[in-house]
Amino acid sequence: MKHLMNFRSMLFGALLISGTAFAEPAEGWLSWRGPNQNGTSNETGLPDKWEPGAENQLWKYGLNGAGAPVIANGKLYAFGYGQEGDDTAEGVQEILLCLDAKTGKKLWEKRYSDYISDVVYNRYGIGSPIVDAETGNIYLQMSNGRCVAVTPEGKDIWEISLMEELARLTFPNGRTGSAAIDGPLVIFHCVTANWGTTGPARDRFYAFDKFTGELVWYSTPGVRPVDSSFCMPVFGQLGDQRVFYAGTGCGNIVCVNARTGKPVWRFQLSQGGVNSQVVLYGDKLIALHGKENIDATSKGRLVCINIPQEYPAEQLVLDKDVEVWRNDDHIGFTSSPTLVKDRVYTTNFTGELICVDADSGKTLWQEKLAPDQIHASPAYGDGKIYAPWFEGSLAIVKPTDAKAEVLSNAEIKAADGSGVKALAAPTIWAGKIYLSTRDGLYCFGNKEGRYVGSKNNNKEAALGPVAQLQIVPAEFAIAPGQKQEFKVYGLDKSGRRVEIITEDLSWEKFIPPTAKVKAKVDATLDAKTGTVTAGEDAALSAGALKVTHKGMSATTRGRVEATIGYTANFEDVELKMESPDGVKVNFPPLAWLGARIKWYVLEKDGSKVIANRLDNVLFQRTMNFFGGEDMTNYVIEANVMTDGNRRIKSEVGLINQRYKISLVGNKNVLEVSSNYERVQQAVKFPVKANQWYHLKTHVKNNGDGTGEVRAKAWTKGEDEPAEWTIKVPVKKLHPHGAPGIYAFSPQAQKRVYIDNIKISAGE
Amino acid sequence: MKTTTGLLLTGLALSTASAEDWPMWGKDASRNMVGNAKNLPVDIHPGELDDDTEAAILKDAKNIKWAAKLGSQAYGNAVVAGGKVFVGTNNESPRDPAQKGDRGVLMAFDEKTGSFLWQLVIPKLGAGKVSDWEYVGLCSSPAIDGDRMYLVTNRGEVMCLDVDGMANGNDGPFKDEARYSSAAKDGTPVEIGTQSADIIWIYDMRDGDNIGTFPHNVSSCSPVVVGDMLITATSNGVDWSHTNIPAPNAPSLISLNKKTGKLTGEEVSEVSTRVLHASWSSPAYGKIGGKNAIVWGGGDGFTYAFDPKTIKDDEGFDVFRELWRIDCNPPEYRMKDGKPIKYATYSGPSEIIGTTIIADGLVYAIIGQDPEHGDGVGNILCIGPDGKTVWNSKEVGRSISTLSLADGLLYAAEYDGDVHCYDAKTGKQHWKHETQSRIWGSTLVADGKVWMGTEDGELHILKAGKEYKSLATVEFPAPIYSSAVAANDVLYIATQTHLYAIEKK
Repeated sequence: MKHLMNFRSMLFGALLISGTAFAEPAEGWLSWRGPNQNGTSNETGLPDKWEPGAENQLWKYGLNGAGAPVIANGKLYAFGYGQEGDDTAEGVQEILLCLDAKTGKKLWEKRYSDYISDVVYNRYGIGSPIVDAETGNIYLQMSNGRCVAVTPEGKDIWEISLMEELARLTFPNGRTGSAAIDGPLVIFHCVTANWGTTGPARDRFYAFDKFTGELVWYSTPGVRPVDSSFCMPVFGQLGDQRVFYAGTGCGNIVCVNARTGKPVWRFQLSQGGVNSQVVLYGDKLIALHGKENIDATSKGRLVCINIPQEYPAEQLVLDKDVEVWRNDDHIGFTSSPTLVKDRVYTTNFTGELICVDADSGKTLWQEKLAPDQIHASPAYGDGKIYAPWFEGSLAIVKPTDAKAEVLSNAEIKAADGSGVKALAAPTIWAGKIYLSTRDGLYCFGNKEGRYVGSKNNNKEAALGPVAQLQIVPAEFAIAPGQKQEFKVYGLDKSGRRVEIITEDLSWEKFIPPTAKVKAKVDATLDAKTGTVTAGEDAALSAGALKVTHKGMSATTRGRVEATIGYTANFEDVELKMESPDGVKVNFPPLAWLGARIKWYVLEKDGSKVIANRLDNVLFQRTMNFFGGEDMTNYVIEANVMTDGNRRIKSEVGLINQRYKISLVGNKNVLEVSSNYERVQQAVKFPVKANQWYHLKTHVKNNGDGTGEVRAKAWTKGEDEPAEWTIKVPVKKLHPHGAPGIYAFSPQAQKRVYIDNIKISAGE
Repeated sequence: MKTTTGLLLTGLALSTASAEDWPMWGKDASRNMVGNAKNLPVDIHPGELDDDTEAAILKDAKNIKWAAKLGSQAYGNAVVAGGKVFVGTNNESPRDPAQKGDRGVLMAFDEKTGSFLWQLVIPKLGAGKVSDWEYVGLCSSPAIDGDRMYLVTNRGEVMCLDVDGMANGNDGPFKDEARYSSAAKDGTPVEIGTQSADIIWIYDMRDGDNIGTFPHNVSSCSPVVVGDMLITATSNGVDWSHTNIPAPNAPSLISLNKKTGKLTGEEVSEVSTRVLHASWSSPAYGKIGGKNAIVWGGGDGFTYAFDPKTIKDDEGFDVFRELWRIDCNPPEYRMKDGKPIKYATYSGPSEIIGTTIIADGLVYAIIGQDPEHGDGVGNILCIGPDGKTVWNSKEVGRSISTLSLADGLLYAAEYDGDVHCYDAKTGKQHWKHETQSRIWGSTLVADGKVWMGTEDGELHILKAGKEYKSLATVEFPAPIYSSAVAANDVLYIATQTHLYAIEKK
C-alpha cells in the first residue's frame, strides 16, 4: 500500500526525529483485561463501596464510553464519543481521550469522524485502546475500522482505514473491542471481504508492525461468520511458538501463531458468534458463549477445554473430546469471564453473577443482581468483584464459595433519572476503580494507591538461526506510476525477527497453485530487490510475489489500483461464464475490493456494463472500493440505472472521498450520506426504472476543515446541467478517501447497472 | 444477552373452533388476552430436563398434562383449535432428521396427548440478521379458520395451510411443498410425508412484483380473518442503518383474499414512510362506535382505525380508508426544544409492537421498542371510538406486550418487569407487581388470575382484581418469551425450548 507507506514512513520518520521512538516503557492496566489477561488485579486496598457522586468518588469526566479505559504511567486513555462545540449530527465524533488518571484532568484528546459505516443509534465507542508496554504508544480500532497509533503525547504515528484498504465490513452493533500487542506486532480483529483468497467475508486477524503500520500477516482461522466478534486475542506459549486464542464470529475458539498468523487449531463452540474473551487456566482454556449450542438445543455455555500441547503441522479442528467440562447455566454473548485462581466469575444475560469451580465446572452459586446484562464484564481485585450491569448499576461483591456478599450496589442515573447504560468492564489502578458509562467516566477509591503489576516469568530462549522468511508488507496496493518496496525478515523457528535480509534474494511473480484466478500484477518486478513499479499506463491488476532465499521462500500479494485517469467501460471483458439464470457474464476486475461475488459484467442495452448479483439476498447491498484511501479532490462519475416498478426500485451510486452519493429509486431522491446518523441530505430527483442516468460527484475542500459534497445527475444523452443538482456543505470534511461504487437492491429484487466509470482530477 | 430484535408477540382469526379453544393470537379478533378457562392450577412444577435427551422429566412434575420439545427459541405463541395445538419455533430440535439446520418451524401437536402431528419447515432467507435473524424461528401465531390456517412466515410470506397437514393429502393450488421446504442451494426437493405441512397458497410480501416489503429482523404478525378477508401487517421497516427505509412505498398493512391469496386491500396512510423500526404488530377487528373497523398499531407509533371496506384510489388500487389515527406518543416524546428526539433513546418516541386491543367498544394501546433498546419512556392509552384519548398514563415503561381487559380492569406488562392493573375506564392504577425480570410476553387473564411469563423463566400468577395478591411464582427451566394461553381448561406455557400443557390433576 504504497500510498499509505509514504504517509506512514513520513510519520515514523518524524517520530524518530522527535525522539519519541525512545518512549518510556509503560506500566499499568495497559489493556482492558488488565495485567493477567483475565480481568484481575494484583492490588489490595480497593474500595468496598461506591455511590455515584458521593462517598469515595474522586472524579467524573463527561465521556460517553462503552469500553474500559486503560492506564499507563499515570495517564488514562479512554475511547468514547461526543459532540463538543457542534450540536449538529455531523458533530458526533469518536474520541480518544487522555486524562491524568489521578485527577481526571484532561491532557489531550483526538476526535475522529465516522464514515459510511453501519453503526446505528450512535453505538460508538464500544471498545478500548491498548498501550504498548515497550513504547507506551496507544493503539485503537474505531467503529468503522479506522485504526490509529498515537504517542503518549497524542502525536500521530500512523493511521489505517481497514474499510478502504482491506474491505473491512461494519456492523450496526458497533462492537469493535480492542487491539492486542505482542512483540513488534499490533493485531486487529475484524470481518473483511477483501479480494482473491480473502474475497469471501471471513472473521480475520491482521497484524501490523506497531512502529510503521505495515501489514505483517493476515490470518483466516475460521469458517463463514454469522456475526461480528470483538474478541481480543489472549496470548500464550505453545511449545516454542507464541500463539493467541480468541473467539470468532463463526462460533469458534481459534488458536493462531502470533508471529506468522498461521492458524493452529479451531474448536467450534457455538453456532453463533463468540464475543467473550477466553481465559487461560494452566494448560486449559475456558470460554463462554450465548448463542445456539452445537450439540444441544439450548443457548449458551461455559466450556473448559484441554489445549493441545503439541504444535501441529497443519490446522487442527478440535472436537468434543478436548472438553474437560461444560456448564449450561450460562448465556453470555459479549460479557467475558473473570478467572480468580480456581474460580470463574461470569455475568449472565438475565443479570446473575455466577461463580463456577474452574476444575469441576460446577456452579457454586448464582446471585441475581440486575434485570439483564449485555457487554460489561466483571473485574476482580482485593477479594472483591466489581460487576457493572447494562441497565446502569455497579455491584461490589465479596465472593466466598458459599455465597456472594453484596457490599454495595450503586445505581447510576442520568440527570433525567433514567438508568445509565454500563457496557464496559471496570479498570483497576492504584487503589482506584474506573468505570466508563454512557453518561461519564467515573473514578472512585483511594487517592493514594499503588499499582501492582504482574511479573513476566517467561524467559525467552536465545534467538535461533533464520528458519523462515516473512515479507512485509504482506499486502500492497499501488497506483499507476507508483512503486512498492519490501522488507524480507528472517525469522527463527519461533517466528522471532532475526534480521532483515537484503542479500541473495530472488523475487518472482507468482501464481499460487491453488489460485482460482491465474492473475499477475501489471508492474515491473526487480528480481533482486523485489521492488515493484507500476507504469503510468499499468492496468488494474492483482497478483502475488514470491521471494526465495537459501531454499526458503515467502509470498506477498497486491494490486494496481485506480487513480485519477481511471476509466472502465467493460467493453473488452469476454463474457465467458453463465450466471445461474443463464445470462452470459464475467467477473468485475480482480483488483476491486470484494466485488467478484457482488457484481457481474454482462450485456445490457447493447453495451457491456456491471450489474449487481441478485442470487444471494445476503449481498443485496454492496460497496466496493477500487482506489487509494489517500485520494483527494477527484471527480468520479458513471452511468447508472435501476430496474423496478411502481413500488420497488433500487439504489445505485458512487463513493467519493468517504461520502456515498446515490440515486435512491424508492424515494426519488439524489442523496449524500456518510453514516446516516451523521450526514444525510437529499434533493428530489425522479428516478425512473430502466432509465440510464449520468451521475457525477465531487468533494470540495475549503481548506479550513469544511467542504462541500456535490453531485449532478441527469438523463443519459441529455446535456450536462451547468449547476450541481445537490450541494451539501459539511463542517467536518473527510479530506481524502477511496473511490468506489454502491448498490442496494432491497431484498435482492431489482437489479442496478453501472457503466462508463471515470475518475478525473477535481477543480 | 438479547440477540433478537423486535420479536413479536402477536397474533390472529375467526374460527369455527369450540368456544373454549384459543384459535388465534388473543383468542378472538378483539385480541383481548382473556380466556374462559376454569380450574387452572396454581401449584405447578414443570419438572427438570433430562441432561441427555433434554426431554422434560414429568415424574416429579406437578399438574403438567404433557410437555413437548420445541427448538432452542420459541416466540410464536401457541394457538389451540380443533383438537390441535400449534406453535412456532426454530429447528434446533429437528423433528425430521433429513432437515437439520436453521429453519423456521410451525409444529402441530395433539391437544390431548401432546404427540407431534406435523410441521411446516421454512428455510431461512439467508439475508442475515436484517430480515430473517438466525435461529429466531417462526414468530407468527396462526389464525385457525375451519380447516384452514393462516400465518406469516419468517421469510415474509403470508401462507395458508391445511390444519390437518399432509395426512389427508396434498391440497392445492400450491403443491410444491417438497421444493418449498428445501434449503439446498440447488433447490433439491425434500421428502414430504404425512408429518409434513400442506401449503394451500403463498403470498410473498417481499416479492417486488407483489408489494415489495423490506421486513426488518424477522417477519412476524399474526393475521386475522374476517369473512373472506385476511388482514396482516407486513413487517416492513428500516434496514441495517436503522435510519434508512428501503421500501417506503410498500404498505405496512394489507388484506388478501383468504381463498386465493390475492391482494385485496392495503393501507395508504404512508405508515412505511414514518416507520421507526418495523410494523410487526398484529391487527384487531371489531366494533367501535357501532361500526366494524380494523384497528392496528403501526410501526410509526400511531394507532389506526380503517374501514374494512376498501375503496379504489386514483390508480385503481384497492385501499383502506383511514377512519382515524392517533399518535400514541405524547408530543414530548417526539420533540424537545423544537427538535426531534432521536429514536432508541430513553426519552424518545416508540412504535407499537404489542397488539392494540378492542374491548367494550374502546381501543387500548401501549407503546414500546425492541428489547435491545433497553428501557425508556412509555405510554398506555384508552382510545375512544372517535380516535381521541379517553385516558392515558405515562407511568409505565416501554412494553412489547399485549393488554388484557377483564371485569373493568386493564392489565399491562412492561419490558422492565412490572405488571400493572388499571381501572379500564379511568386509568386509575390499582396495583403494580414487580417480577425483577424482563418481560416480552403478554398477560393472560383466565380463571380469575393473571398469568405472566418472564425472561428469567418464571411464571408469575397473580390474583385478578383490584386487590393485589401474588398467588405463586413458578420456575421453568428456560426463559419464557411467549405468552400464556388457556384453552379448554388447560394452560399452555411455552419456554424457549418446551411447550407445557398444564391442568389440575
